[in-house]
Amino acid sequence: MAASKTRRYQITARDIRQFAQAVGERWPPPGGSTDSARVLHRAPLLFCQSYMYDEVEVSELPEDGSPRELDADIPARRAVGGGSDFEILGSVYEGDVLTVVTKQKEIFHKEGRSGRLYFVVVETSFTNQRDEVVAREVATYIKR
Amino acid sequence: MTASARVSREMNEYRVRPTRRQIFMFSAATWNRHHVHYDKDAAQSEGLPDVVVQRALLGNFLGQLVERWLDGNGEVRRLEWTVRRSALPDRELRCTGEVTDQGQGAPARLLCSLRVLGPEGQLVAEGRATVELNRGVTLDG
Repeated sequence: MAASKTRRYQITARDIRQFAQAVGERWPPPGGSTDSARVLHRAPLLFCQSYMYDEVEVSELPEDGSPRELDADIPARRAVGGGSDFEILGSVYEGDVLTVVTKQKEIFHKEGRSGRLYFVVVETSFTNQRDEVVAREVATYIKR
Repeated sequence: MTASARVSREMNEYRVRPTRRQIFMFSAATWNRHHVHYDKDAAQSEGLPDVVVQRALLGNFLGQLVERWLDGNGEVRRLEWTVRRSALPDRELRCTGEVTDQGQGAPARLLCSLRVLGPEGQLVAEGRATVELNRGVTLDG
C-alpha cells in the first residue's frame, strides 16, 4: 500500500470561489464581499475536496488519469466512484493553511457479478494552522 | 434564528442538472484528471455511455439538499454517500431526504437518510447525514 503523504496549502479567495462555482454555489454569499476586513465567509461544506488529490505530474498518473491516491498494486485498471464518509468538524476560511494527510487505509476485494472488484480505502485528514482538524474523509474507490 | 425555529422531518426535494461544463469545472477544482469525467470516447471505452458526474460532486448535491433544509438552523456534521449508478451530464437529478432518528442530549443531533434519483427515478446515490441543530431549534412532529 502507498505510504501516507502530507501536503500543505494556503487557501485563497480564488480557491474557494472556484470550488463554489463548480458545485453551483455563490461565494461569498449574496450581500457578502471578500474586500479587506469584514466578516469572513466560510467555504462551502465540502470545500476540502479541492485538496483530495495531489497535483502530481501527469506522467506519474495511471493511464486513465485516475488519482494517484487510489493507485495500488492490484490487477485492476478501471476505477469507479464508490463512496465517501465525510466528517465536517470545523469551517474553512480564506487565508487558512490546510495540512492534508492522505493514506491508503486498506485494500480488499469481493466477487461481483462480472468479476472481482477491488476496494481501495483512502483516508484523508484536513487540519488548519491552529492544529484543528476541520474535516476527515474515508473514501472507498472501486476498481475492476 | 428564533428560539421557536423548527425543522420538518421531510426535506423539500432539491433538483439539479449537472452540465458538462459543471463536471469539467468540478474536475478542475478538485484536480481530478480521471478521463471518464472529460473525455467521452475514453468514458465509452470503459463501458460508460458518456462522461459521468463525479462521486464527490454528488456528495455536494446531497450536502446542499441538507443545508437548504436546515436553512441556518443547524450544521451538517457528517455526510456519507455511496454511488449506485453513474449519473450522466444534462440529466435532472432529484435529491430527497428525511429524518430517520433523533439522538438524545444537547445539542440535538438528527440522523437523516438521503438519496439522489435519476430522471427515471433510478437510484444514483444514497447516503446519510448527521446534523446538529442550533440551540432552541426543534424537530417537527
